[in-house]
Amino acid sequence: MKILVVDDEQDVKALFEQRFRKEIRSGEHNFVFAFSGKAALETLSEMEHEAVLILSDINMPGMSGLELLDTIKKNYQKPPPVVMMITAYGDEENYNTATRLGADDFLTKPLDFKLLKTKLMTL
Amino acid sequence: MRALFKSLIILACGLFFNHLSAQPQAVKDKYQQLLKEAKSENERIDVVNFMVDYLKAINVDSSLALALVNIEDAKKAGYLKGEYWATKYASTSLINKGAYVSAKKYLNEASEIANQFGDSALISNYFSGMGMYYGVQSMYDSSAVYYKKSIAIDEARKGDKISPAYEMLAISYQMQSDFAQAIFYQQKALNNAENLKNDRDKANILVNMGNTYRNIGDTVRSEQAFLEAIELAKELNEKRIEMYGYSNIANLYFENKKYDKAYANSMLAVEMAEQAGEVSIGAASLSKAAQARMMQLKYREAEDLAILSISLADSSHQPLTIYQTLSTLGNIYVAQEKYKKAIPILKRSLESKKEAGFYDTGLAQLYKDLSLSYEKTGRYDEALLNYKIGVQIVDSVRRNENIRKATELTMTYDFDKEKAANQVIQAKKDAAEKTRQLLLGSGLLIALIIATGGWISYRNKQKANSLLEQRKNELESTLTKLKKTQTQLIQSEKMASLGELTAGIAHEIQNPLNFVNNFSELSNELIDELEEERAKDVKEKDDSLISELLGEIKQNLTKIHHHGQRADGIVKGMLQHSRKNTGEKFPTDVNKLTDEFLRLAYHGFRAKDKQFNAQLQTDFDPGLNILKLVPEDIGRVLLNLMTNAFYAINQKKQMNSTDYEPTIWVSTKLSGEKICISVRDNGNGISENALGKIFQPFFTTKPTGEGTGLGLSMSYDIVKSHGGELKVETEEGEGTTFTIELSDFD
Repeated sequence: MKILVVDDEQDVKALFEQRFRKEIRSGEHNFVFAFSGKAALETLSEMEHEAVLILSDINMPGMSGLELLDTIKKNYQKPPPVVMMITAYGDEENYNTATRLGADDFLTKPLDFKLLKTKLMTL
Repeated sequence: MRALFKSLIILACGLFFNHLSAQPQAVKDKYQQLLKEAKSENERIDVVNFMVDYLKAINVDSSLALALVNIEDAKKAGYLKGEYWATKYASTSLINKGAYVSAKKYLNEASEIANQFGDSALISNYFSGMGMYYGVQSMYDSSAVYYKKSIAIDEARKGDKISPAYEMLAISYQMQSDFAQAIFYQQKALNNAENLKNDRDKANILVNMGNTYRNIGDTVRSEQAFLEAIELAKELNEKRIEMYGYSNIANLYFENKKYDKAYANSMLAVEMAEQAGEVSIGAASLSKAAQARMMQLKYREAEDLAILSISLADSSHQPLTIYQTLSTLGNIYVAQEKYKKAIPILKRSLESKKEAGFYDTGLAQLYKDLSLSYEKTGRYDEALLNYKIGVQIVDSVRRNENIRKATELTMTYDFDKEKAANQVIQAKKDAAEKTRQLLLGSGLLIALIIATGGWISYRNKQKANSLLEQRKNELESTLTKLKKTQTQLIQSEKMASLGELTAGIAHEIQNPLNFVNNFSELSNELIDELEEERAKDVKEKDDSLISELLGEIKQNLTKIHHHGQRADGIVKGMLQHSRKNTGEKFPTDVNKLTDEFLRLAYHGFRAKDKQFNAQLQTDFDPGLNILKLVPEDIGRVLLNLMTNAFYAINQKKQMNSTDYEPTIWVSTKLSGEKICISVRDNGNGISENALGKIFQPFFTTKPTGEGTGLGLSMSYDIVKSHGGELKVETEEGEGTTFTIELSDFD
């Protein structure tokens, strides 16, 4: 599966690549990274016909994760990409807003990679 | 569902299953082995009966099928006792399925066999079976009659040394909701274990007793028993018993709505289950933890836990566990009104429940949840269909539940009576012992009588004095309480501002910390892999992989260092001043302090209210001198004033959302010999009425529970203690400015 990870922290790339070493090596997952909401939209437009899962942080400078989610859900209707938002525990407000905007699932910070893998498997 | 699930846990705790281990595969293996080892047909039939008994709580249909085969085999072998147990177990399974007519048929046969065999233990067991049979069908009088018959036989048998392990009997009574008998035998078993100094058995029995007490609603004794069992298990390093202790006490806490404790103990059970390789209990405990979080409305955490529990339950291949974990997730979705997501989960849950062969209120609830989910997603036909099935099940099951409870109540009563009788006997024994001792010391007794006379008159005076003393103590304790409350209130204001600080710092520090944790954990894994590669012999060794791994480890260490430094910088920058709360003055850069606390206050406020947004305008006077002050105290004043300002503009924003720009201005200025720090907002201002009271302790305009009313009063005191002034200017509808004036000398 192609997974687009959106986070303003550059080291997220190294982290995912190590956490999913086996899955990347076996070709089970294919990760693409974008370090801002804007960059994520650009990446998305370049790979229009692929089925993608988007994993996005919320707190980012410039375009926030919520704006990104809103744009994706409005502009990409066919096929609709699955969007998982990463929020902090107790952050009910962002959670509710994201739910309203059509987020498909949630992950909480700090990321539980075991849970993420389980979720990816059951998708 | 709950009652049956309970019994599953109880059953799994039993000593018998510690011999066999509670894991299904292990049980099956042991079963096969025992079958092979059986020296005669009779022994083989006994082994099959054990399996029937075990399956009874896990898969009713398999248990029943196996029992029916075993009845025929026992008949052929002419083995009456084996035939009895198989027949009896078949009847119990039929009762659990609600097939009362067939159940009665098998009970009648069991009665015939027991009488033919002439064994009082079997006859007693048959009677308790009848008690259960009538009990679950609302026929309370008949149920009591049979239970009493059963008890009477066992009482009479007490002198014999017939009984198999007491705890076995206790488990079987417990399975039949005969808790009085269960406790009775468990108590005996406990004494036995104590006499034999067998701590392992003792710990096991304590877990079972905890469950029995829980079933009769004796929370205190139940908790005590579990805690004692856990302690003992820890000492013995018996992970499995410890696990059962945690998982059962978690159920107790859950039933008593102590959800934090239920969660904590469930997670401990999960940890133990992982160590003991108990997949099924691990999954059930994760699911219980999820339920606890759900009850606390922490849905997201609950959801994550439930998802993990399902994947664990799947690998256990136990339909009952799978059902339990799925229904938990279903409930969590329903509670959040995510009906679309709930439907497939509830349906899968239903399948597992049917596979396990249970027919109870839990099943009915599933149909009802499903019906609700269909209704909310507009699928009305399916909603109606499922609703009807649910109602049917409830009707047939509810009568049984009610009466089972009634039966339990009488049993408790019987148990109490019995306990009271025992106490009387013990008291008589004690009295006899005392008399004997008194007679021995009769000389001493006479001397004592003389002394007592003088003591009585002294005692009367004492009484009057003690009454006065008591009043005095009462007053003193009221005063102490008041003082304590005052201290607590001040503390709670401090904690409130601490909460704001923490939220701000947490926000800044979370990311680097996550990286440190992740990269260090990953490096550990990389080193494991490296060692594996290094251990290979020369031919197979892949040098390029080794250098690749080394490179990655080095890269990770650089990242750990980088993010550690980043976190360090944040802590140093933000809390440089607060070292310890010594109340000592330090030379402080006021501009820096103000700027840092503005960021903290902003993040702190945003952490509470995500929608909040404001313009921050700063104007710091570069000509300010370094000032000696208590940074954490002045910091707290700043935090207070800023948080108040944010609160004010947020209130106003919520009233007129369109053309209002919520803004706060923070400035420092050197004016003559004074340093002024002001915090200005364009909020609603303070009414004239309130203005006179704002520095009074406990005055607040915030809704109850939101403010302590101590913030400004404490701020005022802090500024005063620095020899400064705290001033306020306000205009209703326009905004407020607070100014801290500090003198430049020290």
